[in-house]
Amino acid sequence: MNVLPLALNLAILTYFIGVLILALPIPYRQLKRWGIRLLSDAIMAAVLVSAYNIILGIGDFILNLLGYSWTGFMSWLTERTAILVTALMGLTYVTSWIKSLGYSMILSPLGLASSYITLALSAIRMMYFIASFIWNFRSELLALGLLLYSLPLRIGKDAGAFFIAASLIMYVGFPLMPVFVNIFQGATPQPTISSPVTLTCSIIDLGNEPIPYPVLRLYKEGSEIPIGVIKGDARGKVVLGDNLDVLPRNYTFSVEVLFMGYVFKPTPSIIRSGSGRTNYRLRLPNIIYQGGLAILLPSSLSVVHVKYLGSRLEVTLTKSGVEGGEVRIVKLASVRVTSLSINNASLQCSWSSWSWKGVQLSECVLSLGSLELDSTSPIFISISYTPREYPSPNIEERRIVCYESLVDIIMQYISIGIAYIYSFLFLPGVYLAALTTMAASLARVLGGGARLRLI
Amino acid sequence: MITLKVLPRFGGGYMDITSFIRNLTVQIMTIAWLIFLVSWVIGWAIKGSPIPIHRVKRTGQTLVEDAVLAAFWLAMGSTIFAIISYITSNINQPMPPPPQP
Repeated sequence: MNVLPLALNLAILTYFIGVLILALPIPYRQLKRWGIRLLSDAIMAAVLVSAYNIILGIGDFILNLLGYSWTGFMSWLTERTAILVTALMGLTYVTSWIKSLGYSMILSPLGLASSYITLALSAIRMMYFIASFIWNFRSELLALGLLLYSLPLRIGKDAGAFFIAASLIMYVGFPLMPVFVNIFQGATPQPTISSPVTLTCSIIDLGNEPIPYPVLRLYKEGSEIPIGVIKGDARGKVVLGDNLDVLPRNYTFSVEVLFMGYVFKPTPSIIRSGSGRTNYRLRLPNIIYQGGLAILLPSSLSVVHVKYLGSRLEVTLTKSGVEGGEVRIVKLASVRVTSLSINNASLQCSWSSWSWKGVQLSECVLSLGSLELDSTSPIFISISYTPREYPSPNIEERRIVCYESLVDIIMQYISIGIAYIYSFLFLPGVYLAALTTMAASLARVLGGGARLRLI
Repeated sequence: MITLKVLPRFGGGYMDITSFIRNLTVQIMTIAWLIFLVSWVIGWAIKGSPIPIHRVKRTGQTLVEDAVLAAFWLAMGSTIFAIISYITSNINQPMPPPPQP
């Protein structure tokens, strides 16, 4: 490096300027004092310039002594950046999710959290910048400091002393930052809402066959107003949550299932969120369904067995009570029944039609009391028909959005944002300020405090 | 790497800033010797002058003292810098290699 010989020569020049001033035949005390000041400055500068390698080595020596390294510091920075990026991604996800729920008006607090996290990210970037500057250019910084320091007549002495001090203090100080931050920050909070509560309900009939496109109506316990109306798929699956609902964490819903215009009470009729269970099989004990045709049974009848034969449905029933009750056969209007028999006696049925949510249905009521059946023997019902696919009803869904959970999520992110501001911006900032103060103090020692007195 | 080319005051061609400063130092050293002589002579002249004012005599004395002191530091100049580089090169031990980030 050419700067060091230059600095040394400047120091020598300073020295001789000092001697020149000292030798001037002017009997003015103040002037002579300047000469001595320059002499001492020059000697100090020469010592520092010669000690260039020692100053560089002291940093590594102290770091080795303390057991910290730049490698550890850089990986710490990377780790923290990863935490922030994860949080930011989680936040973006939550934001888009809430947007998709149609609650854009409550996004502004999330924007606040996002700006906090972005600020913390910029702070980390600044830290990266300063750290890599010190890491890469500390010898240049030191050389520049020495050059400024040895300029004659104290032109750059203060700045030079600060550069020298900073090159040493920052080099030793940065790898110690993790210790400082870890002492004061406690645990770094992390967003815990990685997966919202999701419940899957399978709606099945009496014979455990899936009910296509069931409509699940959910109530708060004891309330009559439904808080959610959710349609299932063709395999009878109804999914609650899954980015469409914001379910409360610990909550009990009572449920009803709407199918073919009828309302059924499933067993179990209660589902819970936050109980750890995420899959429910909701069985409808009053319905037997196959290919667009359903048999609805009163609770006074119990089923002995059911045969699902594709285009035929055979059910064997026994009476458990004295009363006969009614058996209803509900079908899609497009389904054509070819034969209907009870205990092998063919039967004609009068079908009444109606429409429910865009689905054309027809129904026949069989009053068992009027059929004069033997009360003890089982009843055998057989229906042959052409099966049809059950269409999806035109029902307007009402998704469950629990404000409290939403607010919980937002508050959690805001508190995380604030914690990040504290541990990613405030603490490193304070530490950086402390380092700068230390560098300034050391600069005072080099520039002003430790002045040699020669006479 | 900082290398600056400056136009020298004496002679033709360019030279780098280090040799320029070195030349400057030599010139200043020469001037300093001259001024020391002048100062010393003036000092003794004032001190030895037939003026019966104590203050004037003391001024002469101060001039002579300062001039001698300046001559001493002038003579010691190169020695001081040699000593400094001798000491620092002796205590400059090989340091551990810097860690890689």
